[in-house]
Amino acid sequence: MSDPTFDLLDRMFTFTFSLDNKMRLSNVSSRLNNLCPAASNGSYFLEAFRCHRPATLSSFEDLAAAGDVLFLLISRDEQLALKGQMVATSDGAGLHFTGMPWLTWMQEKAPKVRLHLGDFPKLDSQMDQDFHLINQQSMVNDLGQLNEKLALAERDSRKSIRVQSELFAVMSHEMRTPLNGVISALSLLSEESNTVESKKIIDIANESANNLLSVINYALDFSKIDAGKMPLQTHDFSLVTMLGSVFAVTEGRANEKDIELSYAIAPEIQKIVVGDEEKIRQVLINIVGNAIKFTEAGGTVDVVVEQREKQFSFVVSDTGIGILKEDIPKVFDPFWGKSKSNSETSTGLGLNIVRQLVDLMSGEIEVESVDGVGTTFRIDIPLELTELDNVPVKKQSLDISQLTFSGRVLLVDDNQVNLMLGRMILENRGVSVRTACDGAEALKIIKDVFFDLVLMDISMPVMDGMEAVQQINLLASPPPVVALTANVGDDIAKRYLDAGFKGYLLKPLEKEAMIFELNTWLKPSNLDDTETIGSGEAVCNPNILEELCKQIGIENYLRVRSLFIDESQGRITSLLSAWIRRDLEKVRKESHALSSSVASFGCEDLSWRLRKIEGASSQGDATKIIKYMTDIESAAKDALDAVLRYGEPKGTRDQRSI
Amino acid sequence: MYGLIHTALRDLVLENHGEEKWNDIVSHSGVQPNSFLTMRSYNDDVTMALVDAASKALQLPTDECLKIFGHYWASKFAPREYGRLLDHVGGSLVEFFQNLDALHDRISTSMTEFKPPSFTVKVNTENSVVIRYSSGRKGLTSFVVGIIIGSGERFHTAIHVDKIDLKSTQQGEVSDILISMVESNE
Repeated sequence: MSDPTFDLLDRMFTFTFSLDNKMRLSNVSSRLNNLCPAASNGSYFLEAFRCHRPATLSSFEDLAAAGDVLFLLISRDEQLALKGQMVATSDGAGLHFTGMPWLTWMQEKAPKVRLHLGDFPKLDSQMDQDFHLINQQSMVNDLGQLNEKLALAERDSRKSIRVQSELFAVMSHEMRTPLNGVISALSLLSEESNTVESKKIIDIANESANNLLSVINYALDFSKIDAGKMPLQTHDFSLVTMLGSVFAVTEGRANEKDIELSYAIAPEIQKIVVGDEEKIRQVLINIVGNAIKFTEAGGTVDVVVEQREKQFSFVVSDTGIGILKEDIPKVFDPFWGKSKSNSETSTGLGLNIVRQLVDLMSGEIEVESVDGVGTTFRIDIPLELTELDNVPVKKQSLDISQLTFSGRVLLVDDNQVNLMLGRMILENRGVSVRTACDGAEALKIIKDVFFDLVLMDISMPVMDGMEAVQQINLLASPPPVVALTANVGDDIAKRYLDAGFKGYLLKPLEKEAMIFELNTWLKPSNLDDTETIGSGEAVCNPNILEELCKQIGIENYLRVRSLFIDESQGRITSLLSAWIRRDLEKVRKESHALSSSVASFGCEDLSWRLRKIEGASSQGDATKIIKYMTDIESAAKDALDAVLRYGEPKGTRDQRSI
Repeated sequence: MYGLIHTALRDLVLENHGEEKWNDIVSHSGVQPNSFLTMRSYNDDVTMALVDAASKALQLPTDECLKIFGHYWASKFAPREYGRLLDHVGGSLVEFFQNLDALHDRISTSMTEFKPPSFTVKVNTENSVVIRYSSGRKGLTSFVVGIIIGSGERFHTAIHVDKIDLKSTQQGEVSDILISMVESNE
């Protein structure tokens, strides 16, 4: 039967058929018949198809009642699947089905059956969805490829950073080692020169060498910051002490140029803060150094410290040559340098490094300047406040230039120049010196000969310093070993201490640092003999222990004594460690805490020594600290041993019975 | 054009000439590294920059390069990426090109920036047809010739291009491509 309605349906839908109440098929579309021969006019519905959805249909009434649900039909030969809907005829006597291929089922179950684009009505979205899914998969594949590239780039980046880091270490060593020779030799020559002219020439050479060292340090710092190898190292520190050290470094140059250099800290400012002291010092040394460099004789450089809550401002003003207005935005750019009539030039890296350091500390730096009048740098850095006592610490007076020592030192280095210069520096200080060229030779010598101190280079053939120190520390009564190194990474110090070194000295060797190290391990031989180091007090006063025992009972006493011994040993170690680092504030804290606790256990001599150290560190008098720090370790050991020997004082039996 | 075109060109060069050659092409083309996202639409200049760079790097005339690319697209890339879809377009070369516009209609529902050409097929003799290619772009007839030849391989039909009658229009071009076909029994 041809009906315009069915012609219309046939054009709009791929598959159409009609059903009578006996479930016989009629008006089957030609496309349906082609794909499913069993679906022909006159055949029965359930002979041609099974109902996948709705699942429980077996009669015309069931079909009619299904209403507006989605029909999923599968041909009995499992070669065709349809999706569509049934609608009732106007008289209710029959049903019409309109639908299209069920694409997902066809792709899974009958992939060999070829369907054409024309088999899908224009309004059917199945093929669109399929295409969409394919595209989604493509995008996921894109993402996967991008992730692979990213991972590769990240690996390359890490490798590059590792290579760069290794380059730092090598360059640091290779550039500083020859400078070590130059600066040390010039230092010795300077001490021995006896004419004004020759001293002047040596000073010029010395200054040039130190300038070269500064440039090398700048370049290495620049690279380090760029590679993210300068993490913040925050700790408690004294602003006054820090400024004092900046003053100590810069005042010499200021004096030479007849420039008035002054510092001012408002009295209400909190003096003890928490921050990265070393980086702040580096920033200020650079800024103040620049101010001095670009100020003419007779000018002034002022440093003022201000505080507003946690924000600390360091304002450096000079009456120097100033900066041209158009150059001010460029001063922090790398490699920006200037040359003016005073013939001072800049490497161009210092201020860039300063800004990067300030940025690392979450601070800000600004500059104002008038050409020919002067310049002001303002550095704002947030610092945490502490609850420590606001102890004013005077500028350190480090008058140790004349100290000599008695003792025996083994100097180990594969560089003959370093050995020669090192020997000369040490022997000038009265020390007996023997040398070795590598770790293996040093180890052999140490097994037979006693040394008070070993100074050892790290990079050596045969056996390097790291391996040698570990071998040395396995010996019975090993001497202390201090590393000599040109490496200056932030993690280097920890690595050396972990390996067993007692400390480290940076090359090129600085006289002051060397003397401090000698003083830690050797006995000064020319201290003022009129003042005895010992107090004359008792190592351990037994009466105090007896009284203590009576008050708290023997059991409590033994318990408290055990805690006291442990804590005291820990604090002594901490005190010595602070002294090695030249952390005077920490030295003061530890000696203060320990002096009272040892006094309560009758260790009067030790308490006296600690109070002397506390006082000397409060005044910043390093010479006095040196004097009283000598033998502190053995004095502490004697005192604690004495306390342990007085384990059960007299009269305690009576106490217990009460 | 969509990034999948660039991806196809990349795959062609990687498979036949290696990564170094491809890196060379990308470098000389000046395109951004993110020009190969499949479903992103790029300016036609990006595509042509890559084709030009490929042409120079492979030392081939641009038309020859486009023809090779079209062949690769139709015989390898599209069947690999869209085989399931292509199977619905037709069972023979003629049927394929007759239904290609309908396929492009479908694709347009997912790729909203898609500006495909149009194809009609006029039967000439039993073994030859004229495929009319109409595009809003200029200079890609050689690419289409490659597609025709590559599609022939898909349908195991050897194609010979007898004549190309190219006319420039205001914005693009219309090409009547006369081809002879020989079906093989493979």
